[in-house]
Amino acid sequence: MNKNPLAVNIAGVEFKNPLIAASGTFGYGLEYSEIYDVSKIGGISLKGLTLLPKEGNDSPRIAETPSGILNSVGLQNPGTKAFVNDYMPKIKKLGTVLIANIAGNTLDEYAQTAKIVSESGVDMIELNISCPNVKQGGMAFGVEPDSVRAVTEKVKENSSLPLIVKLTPNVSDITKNAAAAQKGGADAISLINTISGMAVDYKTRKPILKNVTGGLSGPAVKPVALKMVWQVYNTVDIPIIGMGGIMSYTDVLEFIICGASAVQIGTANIYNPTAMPEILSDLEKYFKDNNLTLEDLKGTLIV
Amino acid sequence: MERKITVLSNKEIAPKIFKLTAAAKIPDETRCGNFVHIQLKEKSLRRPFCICDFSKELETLTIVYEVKGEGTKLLSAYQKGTCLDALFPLGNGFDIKDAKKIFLVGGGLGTAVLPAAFKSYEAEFTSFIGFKSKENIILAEELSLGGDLFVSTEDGSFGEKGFVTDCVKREISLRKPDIILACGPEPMLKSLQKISCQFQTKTLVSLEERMGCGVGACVVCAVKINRNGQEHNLRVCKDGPVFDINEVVFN
Repeated sequence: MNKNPLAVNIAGVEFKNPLIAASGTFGYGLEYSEIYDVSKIGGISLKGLTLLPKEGNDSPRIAETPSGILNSVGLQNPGTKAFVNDYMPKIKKLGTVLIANIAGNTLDEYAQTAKIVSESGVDMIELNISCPNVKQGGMAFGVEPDSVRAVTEKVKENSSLPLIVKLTPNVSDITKNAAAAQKGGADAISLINTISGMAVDYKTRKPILKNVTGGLSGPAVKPVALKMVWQVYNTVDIPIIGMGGIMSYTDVLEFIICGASAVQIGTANIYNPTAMPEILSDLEKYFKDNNLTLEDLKGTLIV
Repeated sequence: MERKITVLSNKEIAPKIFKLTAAAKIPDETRCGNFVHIQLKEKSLRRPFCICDFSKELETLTIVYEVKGEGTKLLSAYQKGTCLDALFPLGNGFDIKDAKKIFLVGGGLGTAVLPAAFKSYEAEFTSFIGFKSKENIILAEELSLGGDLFVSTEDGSFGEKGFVTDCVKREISLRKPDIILACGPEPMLKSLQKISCQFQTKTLVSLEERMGCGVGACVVCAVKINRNGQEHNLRVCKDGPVFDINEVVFN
C-alpha cells in the first residue's frame, strides 16, 4: 500500500504528517531551516503576529521549572507589514504547511490582521486568543465563551483561509470555549496554550521573570493538556490539534488516542533543535512496525 | 553545527570558578565570541557558555564557568569521559574586520571570553583583566602568552589597585588600538562606553541573557539595542552575543 499512513487532512489542508511546530518556538521557520530540512515536518505554526510590530516584555523572559519552562516573551514580532514583505518571500518555499498565528488587543485589530495575513500566502490561520482585550478591562479574549465566539466570527468574516482557534487552559470549563469556537465558525481547534504560572528566587525574594508571571509549558503540562484534548474531543465535531509537553513519539500517540488529528510540538524544540525530525522518525517506525494509520488510533481511548 | 563534546578535565581554578576542557570537533567558522549551548544530563533546558578557548588541531574546546545555580553545580561534578549534547558554535562572535592592534578587556568572569582571540585573529594584543581580589584572578597565564597583560584588583591585593577600565584609559592613548573587545559586568561596560567615545575607538562587547533555544527561534534572550535611531529587542543568541558598545542600552 502506497498511501502515507501519517498523512492527515485538516479543514481541507493536506499535511504530510501530523507534526506541527508550535507558535513561538520556531520563529518563522528560518532558524531551524539552517539546522535541518524543515519540509520534513507536517507544518509550522509561525510566531504570533500583531497588526503593528511589538517589542515584547523585558528580559529575563524565561525561567526553568521542574519538567518545564515559563516564558514571558510578550509576543515580540515584526508586525504584519514586515511579515508579508520580508518574511513570506523567504519562507513560502520551505515546503511545509504554513499557519499564521494572529493576536490582537481589539476585535478590529484581529479583523485587520486576519485580512492582511489571508492574502500573504500562508495556508491557514491560527487564532491566538490569550491576549488581553484592552477594551474590556484587559481580560483575555479567550476566557469568556461569548468572547471566543465573537473573535472567531470576526476573523472568519475577514479571512478566506481555514481557521484554527487556539484555546487557553486558564479557564473554568474549556469545553464551553471549544463549543463557542465551533459556533463562531472555527474549522479546527488547537489546545492547550500555556498555563499561567510564576517562578521565584528565594535568595533575592524576586520573581525570576521580569514580567513576574509567564506561561508554563513542557512535560509538566501534558496531563492537563491530555485531559482537555479528551474533553474537547467529546464536545466538538471539528478536528483537534493537541499540544502540551510532547517530547517523544509516545506522547504524540497519547494525544491522538485522546482525539487529536494532529499535534504541535513546542518546548521540545527549545531543549533539542532536532526534536521534530527525531520524533517523526520514531513515529514512522511505530506505525510501520504495528501496521497502523492515524485513523486507526484517533479518539480510541478506552473509557 | 556540532552536537557532542566529551569531558577531558573539569577543575576549580578560582573560588566557585571552573575550567572544563572537552574533546570536540571544531568547525572552521568557530571564533572568539561564539558560545556553546550545553544540555546537562539531569536537566532539559540548555546552559550557554562562551567558548573560552579551542584548538582545531587538538580538537578541544574549553569553557570557564561559575557555579551559581543547580545547572552549573551539576556541571562541576562531571568527570573525564562524560559525553554531553552541546550545540556549537553559536552566536555571531567578534568581527574585527582589519584591526591589527587589539585591546582585550575582561572584568571578572567576562575574562573567559578573551583567550579564544589568539586563535581567531592575526593581530597585536594587549590584555586588561580586573577582579575583586587576588584569589579571583583567572586565565592570567593564558592571556600573558598572547601579548602584554595588565591585571587589576579592586582591593590592590595583586597588580594595579582599581578597576580594569582605569588601566585601559591610561594605556589607550599610548598604544592606540584599532579595536577593543570586551566582556564584563554592566558598570565596567558603562565605563568602557565612555572611554570608547572619548578616544573614538571601536568597541565590541559580548553580552549575556537567560536563553531558550540558543539559535534565534524563541526570542527569549532579548536585549535592548539602539539601532537606526530606534530601540529594539534583539536576540543575544543570534543577533549577538557581540554588539557594538554604542548600541547597547544600559539600565
